[in-house]
Amino acid sequence: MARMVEEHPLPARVMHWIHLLCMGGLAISGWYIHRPFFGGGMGIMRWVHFICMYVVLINLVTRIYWAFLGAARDWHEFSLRPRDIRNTVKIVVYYLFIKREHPEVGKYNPPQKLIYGWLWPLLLIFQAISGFALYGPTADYFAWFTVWVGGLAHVRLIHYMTMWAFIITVALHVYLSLAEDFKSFLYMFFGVRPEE
Amino acid sequence: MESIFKGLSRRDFLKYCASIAAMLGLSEIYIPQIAAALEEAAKGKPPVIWMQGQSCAGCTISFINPREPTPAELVLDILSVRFHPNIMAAAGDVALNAIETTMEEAKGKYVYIFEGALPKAEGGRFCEIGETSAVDWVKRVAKDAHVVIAIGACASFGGIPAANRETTGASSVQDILGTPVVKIPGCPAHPDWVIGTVVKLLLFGKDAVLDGLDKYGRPKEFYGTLIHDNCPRRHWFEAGKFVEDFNDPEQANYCLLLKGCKGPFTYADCPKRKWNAGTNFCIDANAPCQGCTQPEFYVKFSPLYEKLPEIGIPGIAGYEVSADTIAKVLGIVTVAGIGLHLVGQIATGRLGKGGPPERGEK
Repeated sequence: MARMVEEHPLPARVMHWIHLLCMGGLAISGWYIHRPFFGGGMGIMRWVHFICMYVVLINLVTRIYWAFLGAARDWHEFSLRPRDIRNTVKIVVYYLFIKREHPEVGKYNPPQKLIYGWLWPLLLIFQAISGFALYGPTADYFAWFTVWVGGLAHVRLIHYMTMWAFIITVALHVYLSLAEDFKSFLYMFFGVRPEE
Repeated sequence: MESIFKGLSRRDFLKYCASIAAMLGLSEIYIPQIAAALEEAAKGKPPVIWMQGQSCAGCTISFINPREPTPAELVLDILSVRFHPNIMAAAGDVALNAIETTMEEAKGKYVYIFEGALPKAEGGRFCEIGETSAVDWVKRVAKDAHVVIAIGACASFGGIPAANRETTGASSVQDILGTPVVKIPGCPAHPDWVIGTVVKLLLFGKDAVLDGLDKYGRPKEFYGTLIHDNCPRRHWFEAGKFVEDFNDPEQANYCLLLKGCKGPFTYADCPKRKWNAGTNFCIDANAPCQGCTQPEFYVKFSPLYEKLPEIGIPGIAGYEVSADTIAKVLGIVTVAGIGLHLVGQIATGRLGKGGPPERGEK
């Protein structure tokens, strides 16, 4: 079982925890800023939102650095290759219960590569840009974004819809990790080696 | 001492100068200078050409709204308004000739005020003044003007006429001229904003006015603060008390954010200045701010009583749904998909036992 240590090394697990806590904090505080569900918390919720935002961005930069230059660099696990087209068909066939055996597709299957390695980082950067445009509406740094999407009201709309994109993909992620592959869930969170 | 302004005592005149100083955020030591500038201006009477495009004349109505002493009377006496479609006595060729004469006599000296949007579709034939399109008038008259001032949301950014701009091609003055102009947006523009800008022009000159514009071309004195930051209902926002039902008297004074208030997006000094000679403004009258001083107004702030803009469905023209509806539909689809897959997993006995084969086992 020692080989599993290489699946999710400690830095990856720590960054995953930080990311989970911050995204949870961002979603809850962001929802409060959108539509306050109890009184008097606007200052605290904005504070939480900004702290989590900075932590999650630093975490993203660290994760990208670690993926390329870390001790257990894993960027190649997320890079898209021509065989991923064939693997996509295989994994869809598996997920639709047409085939019983999980295909051999590497550490992450193509949809996972797309979501973990591409969609989430890009959405996070996009969310950061739209968030900064709302944070400093009179500043010039992200004024180009505000102009591009057609005004602050639309920046807010996009920021809100991107949160839903996160919630839906995270729902799939959580479901599949619990129902499909429970041992990897245990390992990612607690570093527990599953008994076999 | 008799004022040069008819029917106005020296004392009233200086009071008015003091109110202008306060309006512009200047110290009292400027009052003599303002008085001198206004008197000087009154002698020379800087000529003004005020024209209207696609407008409701609301900015004019707002401008001639009474105040003690009436700004309209005063400014119309100080300035020499050579052409104004609503308040001039002349008509027909006489009126149009007044424009031509002014352009010749006061070349490079007259102030050109434009109210309303400019339709550029079909050669501009949706709005014509004296059988010439408004677009051609603006290009011709603005060329030799000392300063071009766009008044109201329509002239500044397109406003309501530009909400469906495919039909008439409604554009702002700046879109037509291609050069920056002084913009005094608002639906309508506040008379203080207009008078304040004109007085600043007389007092400090053109460069001072142009230097004091924000990134949208609005004078910073009037458009420098966020409505939300000065809102009289801000404490209800902080306390989390919101109007959710207009019929509930208990909520009458709560924050209007959830009813689509655009105060958090909108820069203007309405909460401090107030409208109708300092009587009231939208939010104090239980109406959400509509953001009429912002470039987004009207179409990008609609629906005005919703917190977020709506999203058009591609392929179905004119049908828009709210962000929450889309989120609900996507959420239900996701939950349904997960549920179906879970049933499948239990049925095939794969629950929790799937996943990729252990690497290295082969």
